[in-house]
Amino acid sequence: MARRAVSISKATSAVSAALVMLLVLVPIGAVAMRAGFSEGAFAGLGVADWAALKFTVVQAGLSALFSAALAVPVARALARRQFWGRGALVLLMGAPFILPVIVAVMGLLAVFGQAGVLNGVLSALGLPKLQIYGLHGVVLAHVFFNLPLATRLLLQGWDAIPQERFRLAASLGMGSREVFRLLEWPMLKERLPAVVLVVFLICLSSFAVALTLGGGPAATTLELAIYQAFHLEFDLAQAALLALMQLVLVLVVGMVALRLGQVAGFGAGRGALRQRWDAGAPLLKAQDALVLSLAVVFIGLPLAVVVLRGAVQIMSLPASVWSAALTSLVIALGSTVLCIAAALALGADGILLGSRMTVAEEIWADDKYKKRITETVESDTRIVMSIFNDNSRVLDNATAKAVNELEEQGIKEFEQYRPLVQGPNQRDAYASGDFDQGTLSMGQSCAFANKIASVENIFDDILRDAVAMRDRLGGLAVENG
Amino acid sequence: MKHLAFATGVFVSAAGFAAAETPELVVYTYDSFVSEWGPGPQVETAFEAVCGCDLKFVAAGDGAALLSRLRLEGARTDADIVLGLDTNLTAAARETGLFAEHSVSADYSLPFGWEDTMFAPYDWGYFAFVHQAGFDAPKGFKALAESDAKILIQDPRSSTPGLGLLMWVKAAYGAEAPAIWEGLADNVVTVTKGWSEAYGLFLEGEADMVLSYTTSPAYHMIAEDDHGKKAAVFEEGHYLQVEVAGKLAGSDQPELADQFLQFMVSDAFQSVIPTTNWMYPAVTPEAGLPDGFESLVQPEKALLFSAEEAASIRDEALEEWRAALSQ
Repeated sequence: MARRAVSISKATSAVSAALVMLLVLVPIGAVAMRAGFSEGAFAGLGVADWAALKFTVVQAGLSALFSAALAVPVARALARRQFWGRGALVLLMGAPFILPVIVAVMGLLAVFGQAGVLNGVLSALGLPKLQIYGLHGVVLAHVFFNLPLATRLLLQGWDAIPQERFRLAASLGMGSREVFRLLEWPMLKERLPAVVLVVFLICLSSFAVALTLGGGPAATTLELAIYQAFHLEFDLAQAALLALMQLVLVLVVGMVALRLGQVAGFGAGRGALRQRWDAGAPLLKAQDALVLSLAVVFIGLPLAVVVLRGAVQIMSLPASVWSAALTSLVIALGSTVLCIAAALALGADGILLGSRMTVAEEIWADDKYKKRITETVESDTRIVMSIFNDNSRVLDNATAKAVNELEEQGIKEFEQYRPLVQGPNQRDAYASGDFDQGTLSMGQSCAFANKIASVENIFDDILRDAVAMRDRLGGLAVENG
Repeated sequence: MKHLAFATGVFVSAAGFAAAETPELVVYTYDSFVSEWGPGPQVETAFEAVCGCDLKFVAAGDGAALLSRLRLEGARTDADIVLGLDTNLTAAARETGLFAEHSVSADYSLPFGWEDTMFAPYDWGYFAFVHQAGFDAPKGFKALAESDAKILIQDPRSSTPGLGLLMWVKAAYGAEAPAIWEGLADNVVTVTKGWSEAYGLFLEGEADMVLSYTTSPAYHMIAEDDHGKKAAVFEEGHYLQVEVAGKLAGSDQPELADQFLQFMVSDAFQSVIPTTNWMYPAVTPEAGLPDGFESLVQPEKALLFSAEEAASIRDEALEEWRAALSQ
């Protein structure tokens, strides 16, 4: 529960947005100018270009839909299970995305190719071989690259659902299905369009994967058509036209995704792994175990092949490879810093405001409760429920002490805690003002809340403090010139 | 601040002074030429030992990318020499008007006489399908089309060997080429962006044959002591790839550029080629070819379009290829 009101001036974000647009449009414009747009150099698009556009959209669309759809059960299983190696698995999820394309393709072929593991098993069983080359091969490879990415993006969605919601759902006795309908589905409805968009955009510029696994020139993407126009034909007008087509495609899909997915309504949350009371049934456990095992095999097997081969050779790499690696690293780090700076300037900032607002006049809680908050200092809070990996900072009252005592005794059955922590207790406490009842969520920022005031006044206070802080820090900056 | 400006000024004039002392020759070439295992490092050492200059290689993708870069830079280019075009690209390169005539003379060991006065050859090779020893390879394109042999090829739009295959079929069959491609369609496992992807897939066992060069088995023999790779001889003859270099008309080091081109056909350069670029040297070195090269297959017939012919039929051949394989 931070108190980080960060104001970003409109001018900064406008400049940043304009810069991003410039970076996208200027190169295309430059190529178009160089090509002599004004002379009507457009020869128009041939049959092959339209075929490339169609294939590009179809493969990127299918890849995005499959990646996102398959990521839902995987992310859900990861979100509600805690097991040994979970952190490593989430980390492993990042690997396919950063592998060089051709290395990853070789890994995939070692599993799905003509001489791969899968066909080895099939022919041992006397079954016909599977052919990986074709649209399905392209989609398979793209899912391999992007399923992990989609899973991680959705996992962030799950982490953003406040823990309190799950606790409330548990105390109301909701099962896994109701939790999905009321908590998880609304989150997915907001996040999935964005996930689909991201994967679609990544697959849009696929070139080598699409061509290699597509099995022939029918698997030509716009990216390859641009390459051809530029390198083989040096037809800059054609290259610029194709690039514009690609850009329009991105903008259209981007706008659709923005319309479908709204800003997440849960507010910022804490990413700690939470206790889930709705997913304890053996059938659900088995289901999650199966989903995770399949994901591990699908992602892990090709990676394992790559690693096993690479480990043998890594020591014999020439010095030039290491210096190339260093160059890549420096460029990547530089790009990352620029991206973050641009994103911040565009207005990306996170703020979670909880306890500070509990003393607002507009809050329906009893004044006795609000008055108690205005008297608290930071040390008037304590942490409960650590035993369930579900740390909550609450007001230090009789109930919180009782919960801590149970924890100290090492009791792990939730049922023993339920009478103390269940949702209705808190509601009663807010209504009656009896602040010794229930576990009342409370951040350390309660120390800043020292009077009951309207929301408007509270915000004015926060902003005034922030501006004062900025000016004070501004004094530290070294003047240029 | 003044101190900094002063220091920078001193540094710049020192660099200028150094540059005046050692002239710099800039050579644009493709990536694999300058890699650790390519000819670049040995060529650089050998030339710098005789020229009293600084030879600087700048890598720019593959042959086609090299030409694109040059076209974008135009007359302002820093390049003195462009090394790594082939006869499919020289017509377009000549059209840019950026190149000057060369003065190289040599006793070439090419299957054809060399008459181009703007570009000089430094190596050459026959395109061929490479397979594992023991595989009963078809003896020509028609036999291949009728067989159920699986092949890996490169995309002519992004790869030099891919474009070479297009020319090969066109040179052997002319107007019949579309029919040949239709017959080959079910033999093609996949089409890759570049040579290394296709060759990698072949080594993984994804197909029976891969489009490469007759000299590829020499690499496995000499570098890996593996005698298990062979090149198939096709009765229609084999298309040639000839790799060339040219001098920029706007070079600020024209004498040095001439010296480099003449050095390029000398023993010091040519003897490096067979076991770094894995091609035939344009001039056979005094010591002959390395052991292993004598066992390579020798096609009876060599096919090659002139640069102008190659440029004029490219688009048509590309469309025939695309149409036949897109079905």
